[in-house]
Amino acid sequence: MPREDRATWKANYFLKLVQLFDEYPKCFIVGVDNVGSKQMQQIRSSLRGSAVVLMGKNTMMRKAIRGHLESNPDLEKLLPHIKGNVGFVFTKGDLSEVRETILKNKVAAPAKAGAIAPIDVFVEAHNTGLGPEKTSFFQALSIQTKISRGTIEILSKVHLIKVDEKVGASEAALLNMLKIYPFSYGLKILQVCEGGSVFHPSILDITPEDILAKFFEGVRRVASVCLQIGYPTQASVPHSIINGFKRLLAIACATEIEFKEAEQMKAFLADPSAFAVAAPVAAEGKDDKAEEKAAEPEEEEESDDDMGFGLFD
Amino acid sequence: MASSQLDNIFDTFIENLDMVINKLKEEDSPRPTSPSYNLEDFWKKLGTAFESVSTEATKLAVWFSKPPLPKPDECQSLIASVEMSAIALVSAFYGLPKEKGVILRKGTRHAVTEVVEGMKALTKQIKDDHYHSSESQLRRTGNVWECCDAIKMLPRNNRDALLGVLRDAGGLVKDAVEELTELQETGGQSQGWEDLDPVISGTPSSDSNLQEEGWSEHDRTLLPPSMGLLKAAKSCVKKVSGAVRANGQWEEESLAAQLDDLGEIAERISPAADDMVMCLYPQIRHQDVRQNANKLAEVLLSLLDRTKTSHVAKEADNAWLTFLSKAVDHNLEKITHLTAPAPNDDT
Repeated sequence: MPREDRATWKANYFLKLVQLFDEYPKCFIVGVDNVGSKQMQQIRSSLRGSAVVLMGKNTMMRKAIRGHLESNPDLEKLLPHIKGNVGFVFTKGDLSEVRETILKNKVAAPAKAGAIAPIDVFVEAHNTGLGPEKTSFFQALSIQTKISRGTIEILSKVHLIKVDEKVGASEAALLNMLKIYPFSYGLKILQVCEGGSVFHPSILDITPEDILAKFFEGVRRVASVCLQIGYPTQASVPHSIINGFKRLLAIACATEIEFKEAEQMKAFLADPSAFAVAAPVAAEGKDDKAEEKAAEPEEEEESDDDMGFGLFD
Repeated sequence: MASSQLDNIFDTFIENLDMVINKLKEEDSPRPTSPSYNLEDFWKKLGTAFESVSTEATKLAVWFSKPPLPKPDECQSLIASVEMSAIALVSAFYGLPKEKGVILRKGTRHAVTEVVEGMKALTKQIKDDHYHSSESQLRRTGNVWECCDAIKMLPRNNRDALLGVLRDAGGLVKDAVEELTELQETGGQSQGWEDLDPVISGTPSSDSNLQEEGWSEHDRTLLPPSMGLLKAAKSCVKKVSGAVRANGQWEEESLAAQLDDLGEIAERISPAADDMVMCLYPQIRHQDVRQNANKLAEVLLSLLDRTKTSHVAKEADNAWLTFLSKAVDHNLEKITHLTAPAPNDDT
C-alpha cells in the first residue's frame, strides 16, 4: 500500500469527516478518557455494521466542521462540544441500541496514580500471598496486617480509594501488587446529535410516563389558575364540582338540611360507634364507598379554607 | 381518510414553521425601540413564550401518544394552538432591538430558532410515524423541552452575551494549547493517528499507512514561539473577559456596539488558534506557520487594540494590554524570523 504524506492524509480525514456527517443523520459525541487503542479497536469491531467511530485531533475536527458549515450550518452546534478527549460515533441505527453497545464495552483498568477515582475502592480482608518484605506498603497506608504462614494477611476491610478523589501513588502501587483492577473505562456519551439537534443523552431515556407527568403538571397549573380567578375550564370544573359538593356537605352538617349524598355523613356524625364496626367490614372490601364518604367531612372540617388547592399539591 | 386530512393539516403546519425558520435566519429590521423599552419586560415575555411552546409540545406528544387519532377538526384546533405559541415566541423575540446588542440578539435568535426547529422536527416525526407513538417522538419532545429550558441559561444583556462568546473561545483555545502540549510531549509523533487509518482508508488494518516523520531540529525551534503565541491568545481572552466583566456597559447603544465589536473579533480567535496548531504537526511547512502565526497575531492585536479604545479598559488595564501586545509581537517576530525563506529555498 502506498505511503502518503501528512497533507494528503489530512485532506482525506477532512473528506471522511464531512462525508460521515452528510451520510449519517445521527451521531454521539463521546468522551474517550482512559480508553486505549486496543479497547478502541474492540469497540469499533463490536459496532461494525451499526455504527462508525471517528476520532481525531480536535483542531482538525473543528477545522473540518467549520469548512463544512456553509453546506450544513447545523454542525455549528457541535463546535463548543469538541474539546477535551472526544470523538464521534456515527450511526443510522437506533440510538438507544447503539448507546447500549457503546456502554457495554468497558475494560477493567488498574488504578493509576493521579487519576480521579470513578468509584469507591475497598480491599477485603484476605491473605495477599505477598511476602513479608512488602509490609512497608501496607504500613504506609495504615492498613492493619499480620504475617500468616509467611505471607501478609489484611485483617479488616479497607476503604482504600474514595470516589472522585485522586488516586495516590501508594494506593495505586498496592492495588497493582494485589492485581486488583478496580476501575472500568469505556466511551462516555456526552452529547447526542440527531437531525440537526444536539441534546443531552438523558433525553434518550424519556418515557411516555415522563410526557404524561409533564402534561398533568400543566393541567394542574391551568386548574389552579382557573380556580383562583374563578374562570371555569375543563381542567378546573371537576375540582369546582368537588369543592361545591364539599361545601354542600359542610352546610348539611351544620344545618338540618338533608339530601341523599349527605345521609352517610350525618349518620356517622350521629353515631360514630356504629361505623367502628362498619370500618373493618369496609376494609375487607364490602363497603368501600361508605367509608370514603364518611371520611370526607372530617377532612373538610379541618381545612375549610384550603378547599380545592389541596388537590394540586 | 382521516389520516390524509391529518397529513394536510400537518403539512401546512410544517410549511408555516419552515417559513418562520427562514424568516428567523434572515437579516431583519426589528421594531424600533420605544423610549420606555425595558429589557426585563422583554425577558419576562420571552420566558412565558418559551414555556408556552414547551407546554404545547407536550400536548402534541400526549395527543398522539395512543389511539384513537384525533378528529381532523380537533387536530386543526390543536395545531392552531401550537402554531400560535410558536408565532408568539418569534414575535416576542422581534421585540429585542438591535441597539441592545448584536451578540445578545444573535444568541437569543439562535435559541428561538432551535425551539421552532425542534417543534418542526417533532411535528414531522409524528407525521412520519403515521400519528402513532415512537421512541423518536419521545426524543423530539424532550429536545423541545431542553431547547425551551435553555431560556434560563441565556445571557440577559450584551455584556453577558459577550462573556459567553469569550468563554466559548477561551475553552477552545485552551483545548488547542493542550493539544500542542501533548504533541510536544510525544515529540511530534501524534498518538492515535494509527487508529484513524482503518476508518479513513476503509481497510481494517492496524498498520499505520501514514508516513511518520518527526520534527527536524529547525522545526523544533518553531515550537516555543508558537506555543508562546497560543498562550498569549489564551491570556488575551482571559484578561479581556475580566475587563468586560468588571467594566462592560450595555444600556447605551454605543457601548453595546463596542461590546459587539469585541465579540466579532473574539469569534475569530479559536479558528486562528486551531490553524496555528494544525500547521505544527510534522511535516511542518514554514510558509503555513508564518501565515497562520500572522493571522492569529492579527486577530489578537486587533482584540487588544479594540479593547484599549473601548469603555471596558480603564487606565489600570493599560499595563496588561501593553504587555500582551508585546508578547504577541515578540512571538510573531520570532516565528517570522525562523520561517524566513532562506536564499534559494522555496519552503
